[in-house]
This record gives sequence, C-alpha cells and structure tokens, in this order.
Amino acid sequence: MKKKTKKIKILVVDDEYAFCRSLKIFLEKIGFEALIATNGEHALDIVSEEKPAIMTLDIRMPGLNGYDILQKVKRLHPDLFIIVITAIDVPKMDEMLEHSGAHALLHKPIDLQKLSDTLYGFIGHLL
Amino acid sequence: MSKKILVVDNHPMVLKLIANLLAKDGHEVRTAPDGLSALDILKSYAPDLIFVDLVMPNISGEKLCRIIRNMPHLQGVFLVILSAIAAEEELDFVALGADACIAKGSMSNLARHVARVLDLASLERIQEPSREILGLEEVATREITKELLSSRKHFEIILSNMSEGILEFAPNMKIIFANPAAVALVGIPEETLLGSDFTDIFADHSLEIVAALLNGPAADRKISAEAPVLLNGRQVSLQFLPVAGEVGASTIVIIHDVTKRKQAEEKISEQNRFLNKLIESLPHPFFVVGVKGYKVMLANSSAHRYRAGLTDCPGHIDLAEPCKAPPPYAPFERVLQDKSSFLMEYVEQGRDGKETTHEIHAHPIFDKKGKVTQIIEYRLDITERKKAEQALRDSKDALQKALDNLQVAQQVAIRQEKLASIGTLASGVAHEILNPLNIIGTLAQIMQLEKIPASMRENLDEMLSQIKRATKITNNLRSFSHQHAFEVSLVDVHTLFDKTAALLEHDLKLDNVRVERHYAQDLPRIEADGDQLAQVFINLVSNARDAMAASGDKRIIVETRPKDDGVEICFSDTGFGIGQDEIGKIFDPFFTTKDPGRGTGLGLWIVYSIIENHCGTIRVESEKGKGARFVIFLPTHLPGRRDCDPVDERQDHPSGEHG
Repeated sequence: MKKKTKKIKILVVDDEYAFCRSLKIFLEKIGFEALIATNGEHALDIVSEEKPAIMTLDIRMPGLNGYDILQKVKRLHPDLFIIVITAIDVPKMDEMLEHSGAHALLHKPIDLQKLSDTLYGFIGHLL
Repeated sequence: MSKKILVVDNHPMVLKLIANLLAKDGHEVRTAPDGLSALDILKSYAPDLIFVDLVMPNISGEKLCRIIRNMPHLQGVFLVILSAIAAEEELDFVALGADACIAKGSMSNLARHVARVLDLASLERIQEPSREILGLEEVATREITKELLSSRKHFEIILSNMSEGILEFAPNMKIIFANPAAVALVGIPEETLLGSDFTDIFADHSLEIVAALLNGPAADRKISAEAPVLLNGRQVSLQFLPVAGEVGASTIVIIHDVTKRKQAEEKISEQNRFLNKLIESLPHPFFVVGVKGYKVMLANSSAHRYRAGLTDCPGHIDLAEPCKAPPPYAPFERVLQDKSSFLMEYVEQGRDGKETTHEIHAHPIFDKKGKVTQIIEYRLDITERKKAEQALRDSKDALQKALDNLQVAQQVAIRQEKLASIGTLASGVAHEILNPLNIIGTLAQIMQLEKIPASMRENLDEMLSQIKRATKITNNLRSFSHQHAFEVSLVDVHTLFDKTAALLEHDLKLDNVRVERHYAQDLPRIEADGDQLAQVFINLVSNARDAMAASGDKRIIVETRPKDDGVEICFSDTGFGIGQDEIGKIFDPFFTTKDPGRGTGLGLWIVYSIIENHCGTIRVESEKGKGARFVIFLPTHLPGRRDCDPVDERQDHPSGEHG
C-alpha cells in the first residue's frame, strides 16, 4: 500500500455523523478513499471539489434531503454512481430512486457484505 | 096595507099561484125562478117579505136565506121558507134566518098558510118566531124523498169535508155553489162568493188565463198542476166538469191547492240544479249508474270527455253501452256484492300510449229496504301524485343510500385516520430506532473484520442477531404505516393467495406443511388493496405454520365461498389451537403465544387492522389442541370509496428487499 495508487473516492452523505464515521472506517478498510458530508450543501461542495466516483446517500435529512441532492448532483456530475442507504421503506421507492438517477438502494441497518458486493459490482463497470 | 114581496120558487105553478094570491090582496109582487135571479133582483129591490123555496137550482133556498140575512139593506125583511120536504126533513128554519116556514101541500092549503104568514108579517119581524111549520100536519111523509134527502146529506158531508175546493157556476159565470174548502181557498165569505162572477176570483195574469180558457172550447178547459194559476196567493190547478141541468149547463170546478207540491218541486229542482252544478264543477269524471243494466243516470261533462279518450274500460260501463267485465276489474259487481264503498287503483293505457293511474271510487246508494239501487262512481287521475310519491321514495332511497355510504365512509375514514396516526407514529419511531441500530450494526460488522478472539466474535454475532430482531419488530410495526395510499384494485382472491403461498412454499415444504385449497367456483373479485391482503395471507399462513410445529398432521386448509355481498375466506390449521382464555386477546397488539424472540405479537393485530380497513370482519374459532379456524369476510365493494379504480388486479407482491 506504499505506492500511492489512486484510490476510488466515495462520498458518504448522512446526517448521522456516527454512521458516516463507521462507514468511512469500513470503506477505507476495503480500500476506498472515504469522504464525509453530514448535510446536503456540504455534500454538493465536496462533489464539485473532489469529484468522487461514488456517493452513498441518506434520504431523510434536515435541509436538503436526498432527492434534492440527487437532482442537483446529477447536473454537477452525471457519471456519479449513487447508492441510496435509507431507513425509509415505502412501496415503489426503488422506481422513484431509479427515476431520480440512483443506481442502488440499500436498507438500514446496512448489511456491509451487500454494500461491498454492490461497490465491487460497480467497480467492474468502471474497469 | 100593501107590501113589497119577492117570491122565489123554481116551480112556475107555485110561483104563479102565490104571486096571483098576493097581487089580489093589493101587494106589489116580484118573482124569481131561482136563487141566482133572486140575488140579482135583490141588488136593487128591498122587499118587505120574501118567500123562498127550499129546493132550487142555482143557489139553494138555505144558501139564499143566509145570503139575504147578510145583506145590510135586507136586515128587516120577513123571510118565509116554502118547503116541499118539510115532512121528511127536520128543518130548523130559524137557524137559517127565516121567520116562518110553510110546508108545501095542496094549493088551497098553501093559499091559507100564505095569508096566515102575511098576518104574522104585519107585526114586523117577530123576536121569537114560532118553530111551528105551517101546514106540516096536512102533508104525508114520502119514503123516496127521505132516501133522496139522506143521500144528499151524505154528499153534503163529503163535499164539506173534501180538501179539494168545489165550485159550481152557472152558464152566466155566476157562482152558485162553493164547498168550505173552496170558500177558504178563494178567501171570500160564502155569502159574497155566491152570485159573484167566477172569473172575478182571479186576478192579473191568472185572470187572463182563466178567461181565455173559458172562452175557448170546453174540452180544453183545464189548468194543470204543471202550469198552475194563482188564486188568492195560492197556486191551484183547476178541473172543469160541465153539468147538464134544468136551467142550463152549469160547470163544476175542482180546485187543487198545489202550492205545497209546487214549492216542494221547486225545492227539489233547486237542489237538482245545485247538485248538477256541484258535479259539473268536479274536474274528474263523476257519474251515477243504476244497477239495472248499468244505465248512466247522471254524468258530468268530464265523465263524457274521459270516456271518449279511452280505448278500453275493464269493469266499466261505456256511457253509451254498459259492459260487464270479470273481476277484479268490476267495481260495480264488487259494490253490489259487498254493499259497501269500493276503492281501487287502475293503470290505464290511453290511445296515445300514455299510461295513467286512476283511483276509482264507487259508493252504493241504498233504497229504504237496504237494496243497492244506484252506484256513484268517480275517478281521480292520480298519475301526477303517484309520480311525486315515487320521486319522493326514490329521493328518500337515494338519500338513505348516500347517508349509508357517508356513514360507512366516515367509519372507514375514522378507522383509517386512527390507523394512519398509529402508522405515522410507528413510522417515525421506526426511523429513529433504525438509525441507531444501523450505526451499532455497522460498527459490529466492522469489528468482525478485525482479528478478534472467538468469544468476542460470538458476542458480535449475537449482537447482530439481536439487531436483526429489533429491526424486524420495527419493520413490522412500520409496514403497517399507512403513509402510503390505500391502493384499491379488483382482486382475485384465489390468484392472490396462490402467488402469496408460492413465496412461502419453500419454508412450508421444509416444515412438511401441506396447503389444501377448497376454492369456490365463480368467486367474485373484490375491491381491495392487494398488498395488504397478501400481508394478511402471509401472517395467517405463518401463524398456522408456527402453531403446527409440534403437530404430526400439518395441514392448512383454505376455503372460499361467495357470501352476501362479498366473499368468505377460511384458514384452518391442525395446530395446537387457541385456549378459551386467549381467544379474546389474539387480535390485541403485542399479544403472542410464541416463544420470546419468535413472535412480535403484531401479526394478527395487523391482520385484524387490514381486514377492518377493508370493511370486512374476521373471527376465530378454536379449541385448545384442536387447531384454529380464521373466518374472514370481505365485501365485494368497498363502501364509501369513490376512488376505486376497477383496473386489473395487482399481481405484484410487496417485496421487501432490493438488490
């Protein structure tokens, strides 16, 4: 790991800082570079500045919510791969998210195995 | 001393004899052949002495005496009666106003008695005349005369007691006889009436009529009761009967007082006019029918018009041609049979094809013996009333239906609101709990990635398992959240159950549970939220499976049948059943018989709530050890739901996870 190979950047967006932090630990453990944003404005700033390849996104947040962020981010960075991680469970949510431009939906509490499967699946696309 | 003397006798011989006798003695004598002529003479002649024959035509001697006595200028006259029937009649000549009476006998005797009377008369009028009849002892009684007199008496009694007035007048129109009824009718004293002109008793127009009549042919002389004349203020009819007599044909007039009859007739015709006006004023057909041949006796113009506009008349007479129709359309027959009023409704087809509803009233009219003689019938066109009544009923029904719908909708709304608020709360709580669970779970999973002692790994596994349990409870609670709309579609219960069961098939097979289906043919599709109903099936099947864990025979029997306005679905199992102490609580939230960690206690509560939300019912029949049977009823139509989209049934099953 000495060689400073370019790690894939993942932006974790969730208003629960404790979750962002634990997810960051996990992501870094499996070889990603993790960035954290606990609100929508911050997330948009990081997207435009850091240009991450992947973003995990909570839906229910104070201020800008997940849908708002999705729409804005899609304009800033159309190629951004977005995984929605939410505790909300309503019918046809997947359709709704797909329509808004999200690529995957995971439910809280997060199953880390599923998350890494999803991420590796995406990396396969990238490579 | 010469006297002025009038002799009245219809017998010319007697008249001549007495006149000669008196003239010989130097008296001034005048003669009259009957009463009428005598009265004529007496108008301008005042004799001192009058001889009056008792039996004469044209005013009898008796009447003449009475008249003379009532004449003011003849108060002092000496009146002598000549009677040929003195022997047969007990004559009270004094009562007649006479001063003396001579029985007619032989001529020589008569002359002697006249002389005697002249002596008496010279003494002026006697205060108390002798009641002796001069010459009575010289005449013999004659039986035939007696009999005739007796029969005359009968006729006199009859005449004087008749209610009809009887008048007789001579050819010169002078009245020569009037019975008491006639006197009363004319209203003139008999003394004045006799000798006066017949036509003079009438006045004005009546006088003209009578005079014209008397100038006309004798055969036409009649005043009928239909066209009476006025006599002294009364309405009378007159009958003229000519009588051939010695002196000439006199005429008897029979006078009927028809005033009362005329008044009664007038009253009746007035009443008739009133009744005619009355029935004519009725806008609906009204008529009276005689029971013999159903002849119409009375009908207003509306009845005539009405008949003209109809093609048939069941049970009814045609106004021109009576018809008898068989019951039940024969009110007349019914009225005759029951002898009471009859009322029926009848729908008639007019010529223009329009249907009209009539109310037919029939009332019997009885005679004194209680027999029905006539029937009154009238018809009311109640088409408009019927329409109004129907409209009222319809609008009432519609209102009631709307009210029912509203009430059900309100109940549903209240229930849904209640459930929704629970759901909202549950959803909020779930979200708040899931976030910490998420963090704990993530951290636990990260820790598992580390090199850690086996005991700690086991602890972490347990932690993750408990997190999963907490998540399950939370999600169960939240799955009941109604933040998402109640999505109604037409659901085929069989298809839905089959698809739901397919999802559980793997688990059921593992547990050796068989599912038996007893589906009804032609089960109607129902309006329901397919996702929620699938939840009901999943929960019930899962419960049954859990209840049969210890059973040898593991069967779930599903039966369906149409019932009332919906469907009945029964789930039976061969599990351990439910005790009587528990059966009342099984639908309560958080009630469970399962081991801790296996059940959330929300499954049946959710089932119950969903069924309620569909306006259905669910009940459970069970005994400990004998399995359980859940009976669900769901209505075909969800009452109060206007947003039902009768689109195809939803086939997708609520999927929990997404990849």
